[in-house]
Amino acid sequence: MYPRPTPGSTFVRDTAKGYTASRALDTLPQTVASPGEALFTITGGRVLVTRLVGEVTTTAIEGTNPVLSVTSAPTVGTAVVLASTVDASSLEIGGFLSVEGDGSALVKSNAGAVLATAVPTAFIVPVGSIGLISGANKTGAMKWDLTYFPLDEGAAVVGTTV
Amino acid sequence: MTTNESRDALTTERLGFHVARATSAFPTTGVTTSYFLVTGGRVEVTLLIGEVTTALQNADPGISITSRATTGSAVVLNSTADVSSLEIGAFIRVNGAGSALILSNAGASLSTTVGASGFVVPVGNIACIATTTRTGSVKWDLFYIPLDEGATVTAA
Repeated sequence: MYPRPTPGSTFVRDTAKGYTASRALDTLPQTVASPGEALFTITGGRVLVTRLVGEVTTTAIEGTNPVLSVTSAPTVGTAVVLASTVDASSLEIGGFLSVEGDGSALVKSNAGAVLATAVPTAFIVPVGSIGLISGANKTGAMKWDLTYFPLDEGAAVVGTTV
Repeated sequence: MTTNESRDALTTERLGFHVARATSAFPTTGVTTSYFLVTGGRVEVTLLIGEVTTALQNADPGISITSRATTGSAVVLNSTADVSSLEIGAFIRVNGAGSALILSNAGASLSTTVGASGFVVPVGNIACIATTTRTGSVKWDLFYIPLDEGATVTAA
């Protein structure tokens, strides 16, 4: 009997969800209007985003009204809200903010899980940036991860420098 | 898995083969124009999207997208939407649910509740129907997975 080859976790993730772009831990933007503080930059063409999740890290979000939303700002044309405002106050370390990409509010959850949603994340963004908009000056720090498939040859996403 | 050489492989794994149709104006009033030809068998369309390359005229250029089987009745993939004044870079998404075409500005084409699983079309063509003659230009991209051996899609 030969052992059955086991694909590595990176291979499985890549084939199921696409490439991963990560943005390092950073403090929340302080009252930044649309199109927000850029989290990711898209270059070379359009991409299909299959997951976009932020995780609270090292510093819990302050306990009063740090409203947050996420927007796609194209290099040419009008920005589109990917996830509208949610009150993320008091989100614990390890807590999540998930973007469904249907324009509805950011989905907030504690550290235990990002629950399944009715709308599978599958939105298309063009060359430009994805930004985090903040309606207040509050403490808190998050890291963000995005998975995607390129739709145009050479299209790629990178996390912006913190 | 992070090299350029593997990019198309991963996208193909998820979305299937890619067919691009060059940008063109919409058909004139009442005319149905084939955009994609399906031959050799059925395919599952995983993504069908138009992108505006020349802004659309600002008066009632209604369009719809239909699958016309070589044998049998046509089925409306997405019914008429008023695409007037769509800006350059704007998206027209066909989710195959039979409801109106999904329009968005250039920033993004949003996730949809229906249509994420794709839709199946037989041998025939996917066509655009216009209710009026208007200026503007749109390029289209279709991704598909063959369901029958030898099934392919080409741009018309």
